[in-house]
Amino acid sequence: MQLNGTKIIIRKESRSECFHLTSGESLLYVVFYTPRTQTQKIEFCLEGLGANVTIIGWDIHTQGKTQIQHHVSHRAPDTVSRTYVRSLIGGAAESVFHGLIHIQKKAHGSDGIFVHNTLLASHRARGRAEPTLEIETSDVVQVKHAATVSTFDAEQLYYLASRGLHEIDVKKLLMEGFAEELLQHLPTEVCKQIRPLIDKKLQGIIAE
Amino acid sequence: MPERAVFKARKGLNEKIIQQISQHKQEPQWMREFRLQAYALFQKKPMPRWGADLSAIDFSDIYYYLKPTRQSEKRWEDVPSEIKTTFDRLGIPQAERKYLAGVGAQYESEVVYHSLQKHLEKKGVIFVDTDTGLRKYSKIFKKYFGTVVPPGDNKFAALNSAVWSGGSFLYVPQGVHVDLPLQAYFRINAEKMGQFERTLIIAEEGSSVHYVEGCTASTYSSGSLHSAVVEIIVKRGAHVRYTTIQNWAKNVYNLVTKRAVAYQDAVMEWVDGNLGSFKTMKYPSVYLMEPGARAEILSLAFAADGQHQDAGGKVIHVAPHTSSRIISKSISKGTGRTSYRGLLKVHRGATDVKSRVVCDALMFGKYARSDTYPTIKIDELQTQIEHEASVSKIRDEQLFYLTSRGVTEDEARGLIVNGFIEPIVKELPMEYAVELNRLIEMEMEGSVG
Repeated sequence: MQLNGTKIIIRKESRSECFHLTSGESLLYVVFYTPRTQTQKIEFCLEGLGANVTIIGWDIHTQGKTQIQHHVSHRAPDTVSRTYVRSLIGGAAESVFHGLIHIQKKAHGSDGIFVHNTLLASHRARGRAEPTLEIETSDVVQVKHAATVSTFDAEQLYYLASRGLHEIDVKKLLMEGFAEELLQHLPTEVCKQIRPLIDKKLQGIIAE
Repeated sequence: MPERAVFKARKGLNEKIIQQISQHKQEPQWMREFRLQAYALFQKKPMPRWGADLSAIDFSDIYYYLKPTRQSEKRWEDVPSEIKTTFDRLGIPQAERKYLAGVGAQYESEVVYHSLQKHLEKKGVIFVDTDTGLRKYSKIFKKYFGTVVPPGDNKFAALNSAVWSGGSFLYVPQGVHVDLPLQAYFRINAEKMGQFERTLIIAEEGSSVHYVEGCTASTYSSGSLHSAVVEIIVKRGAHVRYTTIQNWAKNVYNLVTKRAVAYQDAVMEWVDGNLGSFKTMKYPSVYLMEPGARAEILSLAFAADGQHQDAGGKVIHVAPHTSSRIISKSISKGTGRTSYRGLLKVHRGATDVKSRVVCDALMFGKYARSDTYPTIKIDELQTQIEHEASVSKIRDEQLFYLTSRGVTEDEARGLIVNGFIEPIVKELPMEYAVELNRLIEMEMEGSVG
């Protein structure tokens, strides 16, 4: 799919793959990570001047283990990357997420941001976040990453319960809010396609 | 300066040399066995395959033991004059000595000078070099030695356990607050000599202490190895802060294992500044064993040309209701490289844990490099963990603004860097803050952004 010059790729099931972006190329990559027995490596190489990529990922599951290696490699000047990932882990599931932004020496003026938030929705869920930066030139616009791991906020639960909502409904609301926050990064056309997929995934976790 | 060694073991390492060290120190049988077992582990353990490149270390080309004077001096007047000159060159002012609660200065492998203010002695505080600790306070010593960092922990902890010499032994009894920082100066001064000090700190229930360690060393052509082990036990309600400013010569491998265990409502703080050395691998860690324990790690790294500072911190939340904070600031310039490497682990059952990790890096020049490798492992639901890192350079607007106010470009850079590291510097005792700012200014002179 193509939108205003941006190539859009939607993966309902994740797989190992590698993209090479040439000069001026722009990619929006939307993905639902799938638990598998092996590590999946998803790689983005920004090879040409001004190439840019936006990665929006959901890691919602209640069974098995997702093992993801997300590498964004800035290899040319003025390249831009944005990665926003939300992990929502229920049941006895596990998530191991390694995210790298690598700025090579010649990639002057690069701009990279990586944000990974994890919400553990069950007592048996496990999360492991390994955000990594490797920066070989100081001539960058900005390179930042952030990761959080948390559970339902006790105050939020209390507030919503005091408004007469059931605990199940409260958690459902909070999970929806957590997962759907990422939709703001997507154009409306893509949102329309993605929202039902998120809802389906959430139902799985709520039923748990 | 001429080497002033009374006894110097031969280069290299084997069981015989370890026997010799132990014999020379007239150690009890259990310590000799401890050393030999550690040596066996050292031989078995592989070199770390991550972090800084250590392939150039030649273990057979190092002196493992050197004893500069026959015994620890008690009075400052008795300290040999050339050693005094060395300390003067390190810039410890006379007046300052009076205010410091106790000064343990390490020259080469043995502590030569120790003093402790009388009122501390009356309170029952023990502050001696580690060898004296083993001799005079063997009961407490044996109970805690090697319990926080066992010899099998890693290759360099095993090496230290086999050949350790010197370091500080500090015991603070229940309810005692040591209000002045206790200091020890370290110095390597013989070429090709390894420095393997071993520090053991025990803070009993409700006590508090601040221990400060500063390192400076003069430059030599061939590489030296510094591999220390620091063990700290912070009991219920106690508070320990351990401050280090490391400024080893630019050819020293600095591979240090520092670890603390904190019990109920205890607070452990590491303030760790790494400026010198060729390659540093150092990750002060805290095990939060009981509810209410708190860890704080402030890490500062500065890597100039050719240096690699692989530093960071580790916090392991074993118990519920524990909290931690790691702040890392790193600066790389020229061909220097800084890496933040950290671990944050929350064990199952450790509910209501809060932790925050913030890493900032500042880079100068085209060839500088900065990496961030935090690892977050969470096995428990009721937690709140945050990590963030950012890397930046000095912006042209900042420089332009400052130069338009009449400061030179070099001064402007110095100002910006001092502002950048301020959150850590403000936690240092005043004299160290001054020393650190001066060191940074010296390092920043003539750097091209």
